[in-house]
Amino acid sequence: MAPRKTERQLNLVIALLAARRYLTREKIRDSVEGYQNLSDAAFQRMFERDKDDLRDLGIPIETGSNDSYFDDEQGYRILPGDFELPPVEFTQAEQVVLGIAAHVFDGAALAPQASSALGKLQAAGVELSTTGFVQPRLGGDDEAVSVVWEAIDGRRRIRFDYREPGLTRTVEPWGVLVRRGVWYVYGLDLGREAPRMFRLSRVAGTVQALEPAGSYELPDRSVVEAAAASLEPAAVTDTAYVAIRGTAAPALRRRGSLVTAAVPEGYTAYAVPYGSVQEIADQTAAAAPDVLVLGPGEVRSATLRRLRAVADRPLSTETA
Amino acid sequence: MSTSADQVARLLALIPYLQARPGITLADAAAAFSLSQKQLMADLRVAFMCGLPGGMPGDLIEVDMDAVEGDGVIRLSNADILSKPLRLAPHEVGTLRLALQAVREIAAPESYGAIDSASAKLATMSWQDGPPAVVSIVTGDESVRQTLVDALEAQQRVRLTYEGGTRGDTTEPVVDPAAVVVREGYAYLEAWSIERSGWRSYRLDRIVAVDITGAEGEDHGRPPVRDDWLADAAAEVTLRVQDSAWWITESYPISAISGDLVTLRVVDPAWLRQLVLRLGAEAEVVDPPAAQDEAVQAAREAIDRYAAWSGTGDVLAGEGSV
Repeated sequence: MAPRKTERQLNLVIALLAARRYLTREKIRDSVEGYQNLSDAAFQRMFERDKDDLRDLGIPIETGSNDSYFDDEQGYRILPGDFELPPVEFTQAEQVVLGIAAHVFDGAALAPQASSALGKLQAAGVELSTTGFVQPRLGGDDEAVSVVWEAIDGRRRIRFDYREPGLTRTVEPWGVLVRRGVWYVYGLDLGREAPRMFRLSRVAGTVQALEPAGSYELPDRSVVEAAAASLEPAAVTDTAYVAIRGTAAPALRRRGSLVTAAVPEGYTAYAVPYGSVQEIADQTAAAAPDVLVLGPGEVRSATLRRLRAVADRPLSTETA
Repeated sequence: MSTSADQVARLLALIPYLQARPGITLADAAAAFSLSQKQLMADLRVAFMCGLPGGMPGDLIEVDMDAVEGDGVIRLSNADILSKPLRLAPHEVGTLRLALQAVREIAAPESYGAIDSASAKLATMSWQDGPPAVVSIVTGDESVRQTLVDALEAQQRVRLTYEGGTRGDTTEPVVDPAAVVVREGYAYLEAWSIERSGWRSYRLDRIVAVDITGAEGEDHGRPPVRDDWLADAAAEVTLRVQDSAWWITESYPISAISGDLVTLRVVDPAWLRQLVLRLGAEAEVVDPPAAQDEAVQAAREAIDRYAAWSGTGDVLAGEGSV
């Protein structure tokens, strides 16, 4: 079944590429292998579907008529200049980085898109070489990744259940963010009439791309970049003063600078810049008792609140 | 992954690729397109049945199937009309540019120029921009990355200054670097530790400095694939988790979720201690109860220290709501 369809569609592409004039449906039906022996209705349905499939692949099938003076029947053709990849040339260094990029999606949802693109480049003469020393991976094994990706490409809205079945969102997807191995889609939530960010791992079930294509416009790329920036830790605006024991908490020590303050024996005082109280208190609590907070008060109390919640629990050797 | 549409798209690249490389081996062509040889054979059989309208022998694409089956080499001809590949779709351009962003996150700075110019060339290859995407990977300093890549290329032994993570101590392991890889959004150096005589992973953002020792590195083969690096020696710990801390289920290896009970796989007790301290009231270990002891003791010691150090009054009072 599938090979026959592939053969027919490939034959159609070749026929339309070779045509010097627009080919009418009748001509296509008679000459292209795979359309014979069908009823009129079956042929029309099959031809429409093939045309849609090929256009989805980016094949520019042109519609027109050969004679503009008469109300001639519409025909179809593909102009080689629109179809073919223009000549490409990559330097040796560029081919090396492309060779590394070629494996970023190995085994992931975007692998077919990557290999298709690389196949075309190689067909145009690009030789991929790879050193194997540097092996970036982005993950994204979820089918939702490629559905979202192609939906953005076609400007199709998407619909999915978020967090749990039944909580359905309809979104105009604007872009994709990959941060620390987590995939997000950012876009306009049509129900809430505002931009929202969704973690693809929280989608319950599948993502459905809605027809028709071209339903909306993408905003400027900077909108997506700003959303990505919002995922990063808050910009550093304040300074906390902490006491750090010995060589503990290297990340905090590196961020900080030495200061003078009265601290317990074995500890050293540091000034550490931070963006949000939440973020710094998470770190100072996690490193207790090797890190003690001198101030400001809100950081100290946020840290202590975390510690007291844990300290109040019984040890396994104690009775509750 | 072989729908008919994928196969059509692939053949439109494969046919010009093979035409330009007469006599290429089945193995090389399959590798170039990330296909099994069986898939590639199936593609060739389809190409063999296609050609110009008319279906006369001279109209069809020619594939020497005897050479394919007998010698494992491919000769494809009479497909002049498909001598160039189909232009790239915007999402294909977008996919490669996204991959290049990932490369840039962990590459040596000397590669930035090539990455940026390759990306710019790709951007001109389709009729509209691909999907916007932004990548970030936790990676090391540029100078650390550059020195590591230099050492990898020259197969040099290096000394790392490594701020070892959960225990907080700084070590100076001497290693033979093998690769820079990414797992779950973090970049790691895979290297052979001379002292331990074994493979070790070092988080790039915790490598503070790299010094070339001057000694040549040895070939230790390939580092093990660690897709499931937490599977061994991991203990299971179950926590009762509040909604506000539910993010841990997406950030850490989970073996089970039941209601508000989350079972984590834990390799390093120090890591669990830090997680429990950080989450405070938002999560509590329920099983095994002893798994929480380290955190409870650390919290109690810290509170005692706060009290002894500055007097209970001003430190323990006035807890805000953050």
